[in-house]
Amino acid sequence: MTEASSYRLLLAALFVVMLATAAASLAIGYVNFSLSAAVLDVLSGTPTLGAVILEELRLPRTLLGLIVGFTLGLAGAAMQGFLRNPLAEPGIIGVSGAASLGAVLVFYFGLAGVFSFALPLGGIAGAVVAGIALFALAGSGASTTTLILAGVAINSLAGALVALALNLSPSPYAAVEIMFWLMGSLADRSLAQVFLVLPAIIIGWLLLLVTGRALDALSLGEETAASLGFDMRHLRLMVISGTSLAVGSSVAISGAIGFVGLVVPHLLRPLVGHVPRNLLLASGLGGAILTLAADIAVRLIDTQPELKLGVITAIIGAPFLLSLIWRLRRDPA
Amino acid sequence: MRIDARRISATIGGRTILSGIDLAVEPGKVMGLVGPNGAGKSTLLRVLAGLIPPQAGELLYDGRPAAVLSARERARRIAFLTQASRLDWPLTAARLVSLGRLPHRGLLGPLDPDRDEAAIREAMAATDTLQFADRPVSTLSGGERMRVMLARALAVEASTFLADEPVTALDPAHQLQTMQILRDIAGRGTGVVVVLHDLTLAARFCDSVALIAQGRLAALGVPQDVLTAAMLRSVYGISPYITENEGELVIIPWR
Repeated sequence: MTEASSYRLLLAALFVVMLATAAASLAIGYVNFSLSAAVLDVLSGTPTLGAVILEELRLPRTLLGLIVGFTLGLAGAAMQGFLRNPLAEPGIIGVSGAASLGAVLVFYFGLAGVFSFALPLGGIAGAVVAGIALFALAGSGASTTTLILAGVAINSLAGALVALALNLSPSPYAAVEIMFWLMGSLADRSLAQVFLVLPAIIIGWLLLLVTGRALDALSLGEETAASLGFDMRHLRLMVISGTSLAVGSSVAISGAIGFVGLVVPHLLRPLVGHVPRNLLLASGLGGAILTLAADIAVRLIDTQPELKLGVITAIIGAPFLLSLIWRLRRDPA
Repeated sequence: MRIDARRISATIGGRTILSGIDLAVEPGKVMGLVGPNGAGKSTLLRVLAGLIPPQAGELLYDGRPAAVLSARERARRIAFLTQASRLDWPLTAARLVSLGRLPHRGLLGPLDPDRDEAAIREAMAATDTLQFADRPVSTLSGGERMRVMLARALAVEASTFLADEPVTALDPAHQLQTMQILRDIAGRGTGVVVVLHDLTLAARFCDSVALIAQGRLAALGVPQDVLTAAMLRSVYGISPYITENEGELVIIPWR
């Protein structure tokens, strides 16, 4: 079997698993109902209980899981290829931290309940501010190391301001609300919210997907990549803007969901022969699968209140990160 | 492709690395760049490759300003082999060599897969690396890895080949083989510039030698005229042992 055909087979397999996980995500929940009957009811416009649950609760949740998961997997693969480091994750440039801060400020000023788009718009505003700062920095010729340092600074500042908002929060309920939102979740989002952020996310996906060739060239170092015709400044702008748009918008809707962007590219890398370009799409599909699976687990684990998705991914992801660091320590290659 | 450098100067971080360099890279010829560490050989190679813009002077590709050529077109015409053979992912040798075909790849896939395949195979056969095709490059020795990197640069099938110390990590047999490869591609019309520290290899395999010292061109010409005892003494501060074998120069640093 040739490399190209085994890569296509992997993509096909991931796609099928993703569809199966999405179907399971639609079918599994707190209310048992017949998925096929509910689908027929939705299509025929009959407002049965099943149809309402499917349309108002399950479908937005599943779509959001697909979109957020694909974003995190794709952006993680792009970021690891861009930084040539298997420990990188999409949040490293500070966009997710800034998006979280934007949403937290909406809570803090009591705007979250005023209109349904307030939260995502606040998150997007935060991501846009951070994205513009990074974009300007990359455009003025800053090195990749400078960009990471800027990301660290943005993350620290956003974290400090979130802590400040919690500290000064007008009521304990507001503080709890903020804490819960920060844990990340796909529950109780509307289709309208999903469609609000979808255009920006899709543009971000495209920007990241077309960096494939440059990321391949970059595995030989910046100089050789430049000699192969890939402008490093151009690549930095693409990765920064793609990640800002896709990840920033995702976080604005779902809150920060950690470790998906770190773990998925790492798991799939050997299956694509470590080729950065081939990892992009595979990792996006894998991210969607993992996010949906974790969200199904959240619904199956019977706790009150419901476990937050970001909590589950962190509980799975953190030990994985430790094992990864342990392996890298022994094997520097 | 012909490259003309006219009165080229280059500064990096405010420090002048090269000044007033005049030379021409001609199709079908091998030019050796020799000189002490830190003389500016690698910087000159990068300027010729279009990777760093000259501070002053003119760089011409086929008689036209270098900046006219798009990065992609330049990448198809100039293959560049760096000294550093680092690789961040454990790609197999075959996949690594295939990166040399990136300038010939479209956004959605290869433009001519058969030609890519042939170029990769030919480059690996010439460098004696076909047996490593399926091995991760991280498991190869330094010299083996260097040959895979050489194959990567050959796979570009560029009309100009710029190589920075391609033989430094190689055993004697592969040093000779690599120099012969450079001669062979020159025989097919490629202009070659190679940074070397081995003066005998420079004398035997290069049509011309540029001796660089402290960022300036100390001498440029056929090896017999440039690599003289007097010149080597003034540039390196060494007394070489120079002799002939089978009608070719042998230059050994002696004291």
